[in-house]
Amino acid sequence: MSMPPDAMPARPGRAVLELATRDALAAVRHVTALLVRRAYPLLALACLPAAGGSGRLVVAVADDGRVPRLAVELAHLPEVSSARLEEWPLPDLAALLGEVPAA
Amino acid sequence: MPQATGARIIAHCLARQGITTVTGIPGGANLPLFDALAAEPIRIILARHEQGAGFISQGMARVTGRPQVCVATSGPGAMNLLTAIADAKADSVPLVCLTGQVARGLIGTDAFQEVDVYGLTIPIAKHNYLVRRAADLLRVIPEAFRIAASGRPGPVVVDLPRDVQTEEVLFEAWPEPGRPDLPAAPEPAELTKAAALLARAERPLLYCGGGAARSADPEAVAALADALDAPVLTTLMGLGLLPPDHPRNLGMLGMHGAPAANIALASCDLLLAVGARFDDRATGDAKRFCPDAAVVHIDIDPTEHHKNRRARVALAGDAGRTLEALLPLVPARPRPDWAAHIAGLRRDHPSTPPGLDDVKSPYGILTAIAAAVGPEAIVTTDVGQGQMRAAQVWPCRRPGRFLTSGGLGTMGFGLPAAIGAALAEPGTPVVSVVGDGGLLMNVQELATLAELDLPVKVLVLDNGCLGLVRQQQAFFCGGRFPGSTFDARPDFPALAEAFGLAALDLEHARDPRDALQTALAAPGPTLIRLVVDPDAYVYPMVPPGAANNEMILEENHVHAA
Repeated sequence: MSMPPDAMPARPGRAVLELATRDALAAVRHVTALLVRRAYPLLALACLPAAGGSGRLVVAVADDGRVPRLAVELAHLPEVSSARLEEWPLPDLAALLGEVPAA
Repeated sequence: MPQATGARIIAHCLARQGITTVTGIPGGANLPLFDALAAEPIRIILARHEQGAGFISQGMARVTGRPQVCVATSGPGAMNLLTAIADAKADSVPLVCLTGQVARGLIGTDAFQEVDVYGLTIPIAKHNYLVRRAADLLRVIPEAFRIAASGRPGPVVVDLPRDVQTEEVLFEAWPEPGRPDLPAAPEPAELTKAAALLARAERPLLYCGGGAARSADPEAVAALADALDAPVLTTLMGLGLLPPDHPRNLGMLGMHGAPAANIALASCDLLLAVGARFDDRATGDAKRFCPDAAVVHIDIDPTEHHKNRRARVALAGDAGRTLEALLPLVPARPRPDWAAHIAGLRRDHPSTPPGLDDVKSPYGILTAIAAAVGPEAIVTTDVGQGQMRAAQVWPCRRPGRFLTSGGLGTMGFGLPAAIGAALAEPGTPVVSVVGDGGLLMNVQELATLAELDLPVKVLVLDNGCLGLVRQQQAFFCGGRFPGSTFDARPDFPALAEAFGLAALDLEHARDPRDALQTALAAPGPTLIRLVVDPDAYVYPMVPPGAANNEMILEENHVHAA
């Protein structure tokens, strides 16, 4: 997602959220739509479907100080059953970003 | 074991939800659903445009507080519904929107009347579904109602491929209707913190929005205000929470709010926000909104907390339950200095709109109609000057009687919402306050109104322009008016008569007051036209980007035009 310079985060850094989902594929669209609507720069997203449609998403965004609010908002999406902040680096995401080999 | 098509599952589930009326327009992709609806004890209201259908359903939902249903076909039908969906999201109105979709095998092929309804509605709906198997409807339909009504209400979209509607399913039993989740209550520890802050405050103020109007007991609000010796301000969506003459009610805040209310905000030291979301129209410049106040924010939607204003204490819960829990924790204490300050603001900054006694002025006709139709009447407004004038002077005595497009600000809302309100409460007088610009945005629903013969009085404040746009151009754009003036002026009474409505043109009435009373007393729908000066502005006005206490007031304003 390209962003105008004045929309760049004030505090550069990364935050990673892990979302447990009821329907992983539906959640991808809802989560990305929410990130766009709230103007979060999406750095990486991994969708890991599980049996029966559930699964998890791992989302990396630029940390501009609003991430705790984002976690609350994501957790309230009907397709998301929980959201928690994770420590960086997370192997899945770091690999997507080309930083370290996937575990 | 029951066996049914997808369409029959939907229609029967709606009936089991207690739905007795749906609005909409049929088309190729939802004909099976219309057939199934017709087989249930459900009335189908045929709107003349899907946006009209959405707003009729919104009118019903806003009056009843329960989810209502609108139906559109695929492609353009669903596209026409989008504004009503976004409007319902902005104002937290529970809707279930059923859209037809091309058959599953055609999805993604750019088929006739195919658009990605699911993708289009993700950002504007509370939730949405694309149903891929008829069997899923047994879960999805009750869930859609549960989600629409739970917590902070909102619209849920269910996109229904045509072949899902015709697919036969064998199943164990009909599902239980979807019911709203129990309202949330805040954590006791947070309540204690909030109560301590309130108890210490010397200049507290209650700021109540649509969430308070929807779920709080007005007596509990008044009791808390009494305990704190605090004034109560409401947003546009909170109108009616307290009657206008209630001693604690200081009026509406915001861009066209009461001067005393807007000034009081600047000096409070504690702001208790109840079911309000710090919308920019209410706060003005957010950085200068209650600059010295600690904020206690009650909202059922925790994603509203800290969004536009950082709260010292954020209470995630239903406004009614939270206030009831908070009230016994807050000691009653007079605050004589603050009370004297508020009394002084009331005295020095009264709201005195011009022409209140003149039935041929915009404020005068609103007060005359309000007096004639009585306190139980429902008023709907369009968006713009008429909306703000009605908000300023319509005597809202209880919540749920003043229906307006607050968040999205949708012109064209007023007429169809009034039809919905009249359907929801048969026999209750309904007044729709619209401008000539707004009426023309959904004028086709005059046909629906005539067909239903509902007691809706449509007041057209006809100034030949987009009045609030023109006002902003006059105030802030150097008095240049590009694109806001209508050169062609429809004959609105003749137009109404062409649709089959009675009409009154006050311009030609020999005794306007008497003619107005006669029109209001007549059964059925009537259009009433009042000519309004395009240069009659709405005061006060907080300029965009200014603080609320930097209002433009009529008495000290040199007109830009």
